Amino acid sequence: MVVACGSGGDDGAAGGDADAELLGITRPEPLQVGDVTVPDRTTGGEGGDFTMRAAPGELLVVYFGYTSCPDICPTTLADLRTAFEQVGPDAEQVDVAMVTVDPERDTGPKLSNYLSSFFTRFHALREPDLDRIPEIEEPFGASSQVVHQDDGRVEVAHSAITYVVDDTGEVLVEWPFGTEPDAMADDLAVLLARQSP
Amino acid sequence: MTTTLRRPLRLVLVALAALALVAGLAACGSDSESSDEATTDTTAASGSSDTTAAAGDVVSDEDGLTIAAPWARTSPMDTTYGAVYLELTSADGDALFGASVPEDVAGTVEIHETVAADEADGDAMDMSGDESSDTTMAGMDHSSDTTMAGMGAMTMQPIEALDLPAGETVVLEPGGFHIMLIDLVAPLETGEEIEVTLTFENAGERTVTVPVLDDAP
Repeated sequence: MVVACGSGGDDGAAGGDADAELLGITRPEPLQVGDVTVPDRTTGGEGGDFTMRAAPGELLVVYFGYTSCPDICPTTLADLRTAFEQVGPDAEQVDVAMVTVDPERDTGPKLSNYLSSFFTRFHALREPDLDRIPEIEEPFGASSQVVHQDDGRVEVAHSAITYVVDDTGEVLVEWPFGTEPDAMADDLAVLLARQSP
Repeated sequence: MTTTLRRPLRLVLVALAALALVAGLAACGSDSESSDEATTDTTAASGSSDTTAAAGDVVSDEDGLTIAAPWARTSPMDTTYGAVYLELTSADGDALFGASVPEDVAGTVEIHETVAADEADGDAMDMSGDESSDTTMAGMDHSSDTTMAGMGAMTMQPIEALDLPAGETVVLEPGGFHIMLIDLVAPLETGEEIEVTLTFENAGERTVTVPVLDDAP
C-alpha cells in the first residue's frame, strides 16, 4: 500500500511535513500521465505541445473544464487560488494546466484569459480535435462529453477532479469537487516538502 | 410594487449554527415573527466562523419568506456566464419559479442544478468514469450537505421550479443549485452589486441586492 499513514494532517499549510498523510485521493498504483501532450495555447507562451509533467522539483495541478462553466469550474479554480494563498511563497513552485473539454467554444486566448483571472502561472491547453480529447483524459481517468441540444443549448458534462502531478508525470493526489481549500493547501505543502531534495 | 422589505439583519440570523443562533435571538426581539421563524427553522448552512460578515442584506417579509446570504461569483475574464447563490426559506412553503436581472447585466437567467452526469435527466450521458475501488480518501472535509459523487462527471441542468418546503432553508451553493446568468453584458467584477429579482409561486416577486465576491462569504 502506498497510502502514507502519517501523523495526521493538522499541520498548517506553511512548511508541510513530508511524512504527513494526504487528504485527497491516493492510489496504490498511481496514475501516470507524463506521456500525455496537449497543444499549449497560453497567450504569450511558446506554443507547441505541453507535456503533463511538472518542472523539475515542482508540482503541476491539472484540471479539465471549460470557460462557459459558471459553477463547478470557477468554484474549483477559486478554491485552488485560495489554497495557493494559504501555501504562501512556496506556491510559486506549483504550475497550473487547464485542458478545455469544449474546444469548439474555448479558443486559446479565451481559455488563457479565463485562467489569468485566477493565476499568474498557468497553461491554457486546447486540443482542437474532439476525437483526441478522450486520449488525453484516459490516463487521468477523466471523461467529458459535449452535447448539442436541439434548442441550441450546449450541455457539457465533465469529471470535476483536480490532479496534482510531479515532474515524472505521476499523479500524487486527486481532489474531487468540494475539496476544501484548506485540504488542498495542506496537501500541496506536504507534496512540496516531498519534492524538495 | 413589491412589498419587499429590507432589514438590516445580519447573516448570522439564518446562516450560522448554535452560537450565532444565541446571538441572533437577542437581536430578533424587536423583529417580526417571520424573522424569528427564520432563526429557529433554518439549519446551519455556510458554516463560516466570521459572525459579523454579512454578504448581503437579508430580505425577510410578512409572507414568511427569507432570502439570505446572496452573492455572485466574480466572473472570470472572457466568460459570459455567471452564477448567483443565496439561501431561501419560506415559512409556509413556496417555489422559486424564475429569476431575472436588469438587461444591462445579463441576457438570460435560468435556475440550474449541478448534478452527477449519470443522474442527469434527459440524455443519458455515458460517463463511465474510472471509479476504481482501490482509491483512498482520508479526512475529506466535504460540506455536509454536498451529496454529489465527487468521483464522477458532473453536468448542469435547468430546473423549472425550485421547491421550498415549509420552514426549510434551501441553499443555493456551488456544486448544487444556482441562478445562472447567461450572456453577461459585462464581467461581474468584485465589489459590484447586482439586483436580482426572484419570482415565487406564492410570494410573487422579490428583488435582492447581490454583492459580487471572489469567494463564498
